[in-house]
Amino acid sequence: MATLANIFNRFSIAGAASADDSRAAALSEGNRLRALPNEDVYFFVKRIDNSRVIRQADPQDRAKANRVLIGGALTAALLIGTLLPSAYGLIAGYQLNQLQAENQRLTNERATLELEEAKLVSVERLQALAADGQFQEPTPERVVYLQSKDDKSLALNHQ
Amino acid sequence: MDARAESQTVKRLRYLARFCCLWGGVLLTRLIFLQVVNHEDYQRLAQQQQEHEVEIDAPRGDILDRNGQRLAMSLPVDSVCVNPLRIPDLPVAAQLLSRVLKLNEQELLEKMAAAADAHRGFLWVKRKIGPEESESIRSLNLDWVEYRRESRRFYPKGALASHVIGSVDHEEKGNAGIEQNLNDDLSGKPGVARNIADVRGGVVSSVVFTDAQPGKKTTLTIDERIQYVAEMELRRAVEINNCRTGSVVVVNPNTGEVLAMANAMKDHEPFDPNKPVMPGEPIENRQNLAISAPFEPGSVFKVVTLSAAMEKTKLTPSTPIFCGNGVITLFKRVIHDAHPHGTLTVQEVLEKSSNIGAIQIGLQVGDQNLYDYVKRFGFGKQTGISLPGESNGLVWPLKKWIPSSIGSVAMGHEVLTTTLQLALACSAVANGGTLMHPRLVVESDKPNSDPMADGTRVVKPETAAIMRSMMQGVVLQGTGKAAQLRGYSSAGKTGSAQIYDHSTRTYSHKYNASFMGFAPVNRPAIVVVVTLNGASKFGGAVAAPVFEKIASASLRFLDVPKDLPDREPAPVVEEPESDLAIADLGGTNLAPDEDASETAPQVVRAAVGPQAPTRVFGPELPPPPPVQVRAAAKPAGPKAPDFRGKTLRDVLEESTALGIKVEFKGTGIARLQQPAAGSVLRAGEHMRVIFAR
Repeated sequence: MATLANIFNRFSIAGAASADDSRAAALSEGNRLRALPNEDVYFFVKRIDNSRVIRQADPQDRAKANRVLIGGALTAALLIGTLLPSAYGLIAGYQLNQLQAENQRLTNERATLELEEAKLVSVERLQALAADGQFQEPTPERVVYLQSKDDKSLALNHQ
Repeated sequence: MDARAESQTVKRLRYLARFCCLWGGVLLTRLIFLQVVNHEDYQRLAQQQQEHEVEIDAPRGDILDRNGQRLAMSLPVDSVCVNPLRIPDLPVAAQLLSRVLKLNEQELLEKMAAAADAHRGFLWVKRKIGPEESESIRSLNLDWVEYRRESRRFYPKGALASHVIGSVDHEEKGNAGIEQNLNDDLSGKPGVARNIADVRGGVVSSVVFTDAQPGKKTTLTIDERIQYVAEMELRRAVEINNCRTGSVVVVNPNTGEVLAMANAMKDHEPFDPNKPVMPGEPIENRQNLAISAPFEPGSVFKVVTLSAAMEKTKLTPSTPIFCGNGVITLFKRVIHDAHPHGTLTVQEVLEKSSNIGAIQIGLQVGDQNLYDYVKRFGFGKQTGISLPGESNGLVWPLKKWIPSSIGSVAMGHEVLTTTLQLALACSAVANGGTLMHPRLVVESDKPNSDPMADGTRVVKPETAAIMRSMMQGVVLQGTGKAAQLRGYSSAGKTGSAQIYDHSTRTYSHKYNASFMGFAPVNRPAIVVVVTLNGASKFGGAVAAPVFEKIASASLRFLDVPKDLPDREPAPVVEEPESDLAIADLGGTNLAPDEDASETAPQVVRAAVGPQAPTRVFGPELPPPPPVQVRAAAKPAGPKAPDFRGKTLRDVLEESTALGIKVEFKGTGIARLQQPAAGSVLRAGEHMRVIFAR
């Protein structure tokens, strides 16, 4: 189109355009898009082959990941720290109740044994055992008090 | 095409996302509804389901003897119950349970059937079963049987000290003895706790609101060993001597501590609180007769009379007392002594237990003084021992005394005492004159208190010393020889009071035979009082030997040093004449004009024998008719001649001629005879004649 731009281009960049033209000519042939009307703007499409491009790791990703991990861990710890005492209390409650029941059982067992002991050492039973074993009551003269409990007594049992 | 598919996928994802958001919103709303809006309601329901208020049992306190031996204790035991609606086969269940638990099968089946018909889901089968039964039934693993834990009282020593310890009812509430008196201390107070349970009933946590206060452990002053010996010897004496009942009390005179208290009833097993009341068991078998059954003490009461005389008169142990040769007239009443004594010293009056001598001494003491001393020695009021059902005994107020009461009371009649009261009175003499307060429970919170400080002075120490000496004379040369101990000195007084039979309105030939004594004499460690109700012999013959056995064993148990060389005591010669003379007052054969029953409402009759049981009446006791007590005779022999007024030679000659066997006592002229003249002698029966100058 006969526009000023075209005209300018014709006069000013004609020389420079020659080198470029050659390159441009090489390029424009395959990659040039259809020109816009009355425009001197030309679009070219360049196909870039990225098949051999290796994606570079984002240094910020690591920090982001670490932040997520740490945050998650803290959250979990907070959660556990909140729930753990009550869970522990629950378990301890069961254990305490178990121990109390065991304590009661042992107390009852001890009382039963004490009852049995009291029956076994009753005077009536001992008397019967003594009779079976042909034990005899000591005659008074055979009873000797080795240590007088009362120094003021009138003990005359010296033999 | 791809774009369309892609847009469809996106659309579906959007729908899914919207649905998820909606669902999340519903859940959130529900959560808010449950946890915020209805928070209180659900919390209340959860509390109802999970929280339970439970009672914390307070075990009943143990009862121990002074040496720590357990006399009573409580244990949790199983009680068996069933849900009748869950039992698959009622007859089989009744058969099984009745066999294991020793129940009546038919009764149990009826109960279970009635409960099932009434749609009751709970029925007690047997409460508080023993460990063996519990093990047996648990081993059957019956899922329709349930168990509840309840407390049961056990008495490991059986019947030992049962009258003192008492018993409890099925709710473990004391209903006799110490169990009843100290029920509040022994029971304790249950506590309250709130339990939070899970769905299976397991307790997760427990918060105690009120702590349980267990029952207080109570230590008695009773010594198990002394108690056993006392019970054994008493039971033996009751059976051998055919007594109706008997009681023994052993006391430490210096502290008032009761070391033993025993009761026995003929032909009845001792009361065992482990067992229920047996059908036909008399109520007396469960009564503590030593404190609840007062009786006329008889001659043991002369200790009180003589104590009063030592302080209120100028009499001394060696003062002569004229005993009227066996006869005294007291306010128109004629009283005889079977063993006529001329003059006896005061000491001999006690040793020989002369009633006329005691009356003479009582007259010198006077009504007021004698009454004062009777009250001082604690008679006529409760001792305050920690046991229920204690009797006051009976001491008539002075204004109700009749002129002859002075004589009656001086001899231990017209008063009623309990065995414990006698023991405490004797303790006052033994410990130097202080009437102690009886103690049955060791007071651990007052370990250093002086028991003597709580006592009451009744006689001066010098008087007590004189009485101890005189009472020692009773044992050494008087009526209490059977109470002599080997290795220890002992002192005491015998008593035999004839028992009045209200049905026949006569005095029977049965006695309240008693002996109260202490040992050793100089520093008494124990006081023992033995009473046998319904004995056919006197205190010296039946009660004193029991004292000897109990005292000997007790002194050994208490490690009391001996105060005498080990020497066999002098053999006790039985005096059958005096026994029989006392046993049959019909032999007195009073002349009609000597029978004062028509001139006055009360009659004081002859005192006979050393332990002189007398017919003496209180103001309200009906007077006996002037009957001659005779044995129920089967007329098979000759009639008894009248020997009165004859010499010994004449009596011998006449009895030989008649073929009548005669037993003699004393010298001089025949004064009394038994049976009375004119009585028909049974085959083989012999006569007894008492001579006096």
